Formats: sequence, structure tokens, C-alpha cells
Amino acid sequence: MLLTCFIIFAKLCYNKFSDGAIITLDVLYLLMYVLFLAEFIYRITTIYKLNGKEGIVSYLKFNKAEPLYMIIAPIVAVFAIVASSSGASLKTAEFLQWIIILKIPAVLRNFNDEIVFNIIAKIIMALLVIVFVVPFLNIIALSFSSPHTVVNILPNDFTWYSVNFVLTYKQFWNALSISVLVTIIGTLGSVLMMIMAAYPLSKPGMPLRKTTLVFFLIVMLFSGGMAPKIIVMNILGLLDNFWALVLPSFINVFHLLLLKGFFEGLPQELEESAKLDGANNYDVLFKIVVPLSLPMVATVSMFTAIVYWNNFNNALMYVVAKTDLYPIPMFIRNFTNMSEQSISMSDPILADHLENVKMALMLLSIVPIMCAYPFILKTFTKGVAVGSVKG
Amino acid sequence: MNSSNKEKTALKSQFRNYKNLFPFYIPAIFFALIFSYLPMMGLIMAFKDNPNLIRYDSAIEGIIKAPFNQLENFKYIFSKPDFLFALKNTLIISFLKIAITFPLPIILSILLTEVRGKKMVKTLEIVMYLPYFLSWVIVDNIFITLFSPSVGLVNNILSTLGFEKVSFVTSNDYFRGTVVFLSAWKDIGWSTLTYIAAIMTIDPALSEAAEIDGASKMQRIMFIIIPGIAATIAVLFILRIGYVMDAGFEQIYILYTPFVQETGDILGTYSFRLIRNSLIPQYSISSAIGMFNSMVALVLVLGGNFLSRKLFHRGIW
Repeated sequence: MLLTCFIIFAKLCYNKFSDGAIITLDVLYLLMYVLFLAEFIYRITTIYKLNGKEGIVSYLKFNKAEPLYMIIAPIVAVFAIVASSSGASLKTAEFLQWIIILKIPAVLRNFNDEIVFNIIAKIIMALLVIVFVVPFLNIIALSFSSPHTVVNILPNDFTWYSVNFVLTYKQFWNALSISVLVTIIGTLGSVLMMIMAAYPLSKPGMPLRKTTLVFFLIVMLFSGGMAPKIIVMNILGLLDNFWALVLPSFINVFHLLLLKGFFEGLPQELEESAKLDGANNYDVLFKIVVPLSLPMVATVSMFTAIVYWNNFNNALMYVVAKTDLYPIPMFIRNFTNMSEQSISMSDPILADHLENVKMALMLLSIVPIMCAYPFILKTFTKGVAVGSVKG
Repeated sequence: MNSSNKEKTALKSQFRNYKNLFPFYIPAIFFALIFSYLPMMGLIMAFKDNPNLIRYDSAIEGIIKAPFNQLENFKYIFSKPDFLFALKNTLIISFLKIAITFPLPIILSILLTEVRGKKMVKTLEIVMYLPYFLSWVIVDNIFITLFSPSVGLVNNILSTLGFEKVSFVTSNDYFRGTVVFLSAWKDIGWSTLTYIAAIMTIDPALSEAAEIDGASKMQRIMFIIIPGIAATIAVLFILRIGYVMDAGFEQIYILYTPFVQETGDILGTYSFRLIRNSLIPQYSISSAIGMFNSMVALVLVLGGNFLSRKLFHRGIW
């Protein structure tokens, strides 16, 4: 099924390709045919080894189409090549391709499907690994290459200029420190707030529980949109202010629901006995409930930290003029959008290296996430297990 | 003593028992009111003339003093071709994203759980989850360079293979495809993980029994695994439909160039330009677009959630 879809897709693309590409594809088809042939001969010889001549005869009787195909296909191929070289029509060549394509499923069926599945799956996975790794290799390569060289996945004409430039660029460190501050303050505030709000919501006997829940759900479901948000920030005097990057993202209803769901699953007895011993609500929440739900709290904190670290919209909407308030994402956007002409006026060497410097900037902004990645991966995979949304 | 009185006293005692818990709400409710409910009130601008924020002392006064104009703003946007283009693009990009990025993680999760040889799976998982944690700015810029006709790796390969060079990001033919590919690249890991978690809950004994009975690999996938995660797929699909109105503002805002206005301008980028890139910020019209957007999204999310509750007894809350 999947294969057929892919083939139809390939056929559709086929007409768009240039001549060089068509030749490459034709070679591929030829290779496929040779593979089929090799496989056929291999099968015949194994049968011969097992059953002798009689085995082959009975096999050929049983499966007449197989040798017929193997004999006819090259004849058609030769015929097609002669026909197309004399300029008669290209239709015959296409006919040949169809012959080979339609053979694929039949050949695959000869194998144990467990093995076929494994091989196909491995090929797909290997391709995916390439798709995911190559972009990263490419930025690393570009960051260490000299400008105007062809760079694929290995640096060409190694140089430190780009990385060095970013590391000594004052605004980069400024943006980094803003990002770190925003992430730390934002995560602490948001998680604390969500824990505090989720705790009463998780108590079944809490009065007005449904109403409060709806109050928070509306925040998630309905948004005022950009224009009113910008005006509200304007009224509050928070435009071009550090707090505009932190405060608007404090409420995260999804995290609230996750925490609430987890708190509901905790045993009530511990809290009750603690209360009998004279603990107040704050003690119960922060000394019993939070330590008990540490995996969930860690997951939520990590998610919040990532949301803050990657947040772009707050800076885009609320920081209008003050460029030294830009956190990393907005700084990158600003840097990559600078016009080449203005740079070449002020710093010709930089303009020359611009593409490489941009990639060095990407590389250095990924480094912090890379450092946290093992830890993220741990909580992330655990978090999905606990975090499957409960009704 | 009648029953309503009894209820009242019960409620009163309930309030007394839990009154110490109410302060816990205060910070969250305070911030929700200011940063979410206040902008919702600001949507009143959608029914008014554009407020003149400079003439009055405060923005609030400007909004209040602006005269009502019934549904003029809505009539205006629906008669404007730019808006209709943006609406069309939003829907097309969203549906393309659903059509392509929704089935992929399902197939991939089945592959990852069924394949033998876990080393490969581990490697793929490690590299696959990483893009999810990068911001759109980084992902977009990586691919702008990777796809660029002058220095890009992809075009280098294409030209050595004999293809023509393609400018993926700035040509109307390829922009949507690029957007969908990038969104698949970034989010496929996360979605796959969700399905892997669902597949893990299927009893492995079922599959083993089928194998002994002679079911082929394909049959086992078709008749055991896919039915096992069908409910998860359906719920996630319905919920995904609810977010059709959001085609990915952040992603497209960064990729966007005036060259691709025809195929790449979505509602988010359009209304943002109305505020930032016009001589007088068009708050009213932008609010009207925002309101239209939010209303449709609300209906879709509520409807989707209702459906998934009815059919599968699961929802987002």
C-alpha cells in the first residue's frame, strides 16, 4: 500500500525532472532488475540444492510467471532502448519502468514478512536519522567554514572567525542573560502559581470548584487576540519593560490541569494526619503534597522552562523599541533580518562572513539546550507516562 | 427545616471547612484577570471605530470614546481580498499540516515499537526529540540556510544530481510544502512519543497469540495494534481539528517574506502587520479578525471535545 503510494508519487514527479535526474533514475531501475534476477537465481539454486532437478521442474510448473518475467523483461528493455534511441517514442521506456515497479510486491512476498518488515523499517529509520542529523551537522560545518565555499556536512577551509565573532558580540551575551533571567523568574513564578491553584482544585469538596475550573478553562479556550493584548500592556505601562516578557505567560492552564490530575491521585490520609498534628495548609502543600508529586512537578517545570526559553511572541509584541531587552529568539530574528548593505557599510568582514556568523549564532543558541538535553529527555519520557491527560 | 435550608447549612459548613484554601487561588486568578480577561474586554474594539490613542490621556479613554459602528469592521474585512487570501491560506496550510503530519507519527510509532534491534530505535529517538525543544526561530533559520539556493546543502545535492535549483522559502510553489515539512520535522518526535505510550498499553500476549496462530506481521499490525490505539488516534484527531484556525503564527511569521504573500500570508501574520506595519495601527480591524478567529476556534474546540467525550469518553478536561 505505502509502496504503491510512493510509486505513484514518484511517477508524478518523474515528468518534472531534468534529463540528468532521469538517467540516474533509469540506472536505479536497472539495478532493481539485476537485484530481482540475482534473487531469482539464488532461489533456484537453493531449491536445486534441496530437491535436485525435480524440485526445479515442479517449482517452475508451480510458478510459471516467474521465469517468463525474467526472460521477457530484458527483451522488452533492449527493445525499449532501441526504440527510444531511434527516437520513436519514450512510452516504451516508461512501460519498462512499470514492469519493474509492479514486480516489487511479488518479490517481497517471497521472503518472510518479519524480515522484510525489519529491513524496510530499518531503511526508513536510517533515512530519518539522516534527515534529523544532517541539519545539525550542516550548521556546525557552516559555523567553522570560510565564506563562499561549498559546505555540506564537513567544514570547508576551517576558521574560528564566526564562532569567535558571536562569542565576543556583546549583544549576544546580553540577550543570553535576558533569556536566562526570563526563564528562571518565569518558571519559578508560573510553577509556584500553578501548584497553588491546582491544590484547591484537586479537592473534591472544595466549594465553587466547577466555577473556578471554568474560569481557568476560558483562559485556555478563548483569547483576546493580539491587538487588545498590546493595548492592555500599553495601559499597564509594560511595553518595552522586562516584566512584559515574564508576566503574560504565567498562567498555563494545561499545566494546571496536569498538576490537578496528579494531586487528585495522591492518598488523602497523609494530609489528614498532618492536619491533625497541627500543620496548616501551606505546610501540607509544600511539605507533603509537592514532595509526593515531585516527578509531575519536575515535568511541568521543565515544560514551563522550555516555553519561556523559546518564547518569541512576547518579545515580538511587547518589546517595540528597546533592543537590549531582546531575549535569544528575538535577538536571532533581529540579527538575521539585518540588511546586508547596512552591515557592509559598518563591518565589511562581517558582511562577508554573514551566512557563517548566522549559523554560528544558531549553534551557540542550541548549546544550552544541548547541555540540558539528557536531563530533558529523562523527564520528558517519564512525563508522558504520568501526563497522559485524564478525563 | 426544609431541604433547601439543609443544603444551605451544608454549603456553609463546606465553606467554613475550606475557607483557608481560597487564598491559594489569588495569584493565579489575579494574573488570569489581567492578562487574559482584560484583553477579552478589549475585543469591544471590534465593534468600534479605530481608537485614537494619541489624542486622549490614556488608552482606555481612547477606546471608550471611540464611537460604535455596529458590524462595519467585520463587513470591511470580509470585503478585503487580502483578508480572504489570508483566511484561505490559513485553512489550506492547516489542512495540509493535518493531512501530512498527523498520520506520520502513527506509522513511525508502529515501526519503532515493532522493529527488532533497539540500538537503531534509541539513536533515532535521541535525534528525533531534539527539534521539539528548539524555538521556531532556530528551526526556521536552520532550514532557510539549508534550503537556500546559494549556500544550501539541499540545493547543492539537487544540482549535483542534475536537478534545477529550487528556492523553497521564497517561491510561491514551494512555500506551503516547506512550512508543512518544517512542522513535521519539529513536532514528529513529540507526537510519536504519545503514540508509543499508547502502544505500550496494549497487552503483548495478544500479539504473541496471533503470531502462534500464523498471523503475518502486517496482519498483526492491522488487526491488533491499530485497533488498540484507534481511540487515541481518534481523540487526538478531533482535538487537532479544533486548532485548524492556528496555522502556526510564529513559524510562518519568521519564514514570511513579501514574495510569498499569495500562498503564505495567514490570519496571524496579516493582523500583526495591521498593527505594526501600517501607518496608523489598525487596532479595531485587527481585533475584528482576532475575534472572528477566536470564535471559530472556540466552536471547533468545544465541538471537538464534545464529540470525543460522547464517542470515546475522553477529552482535554
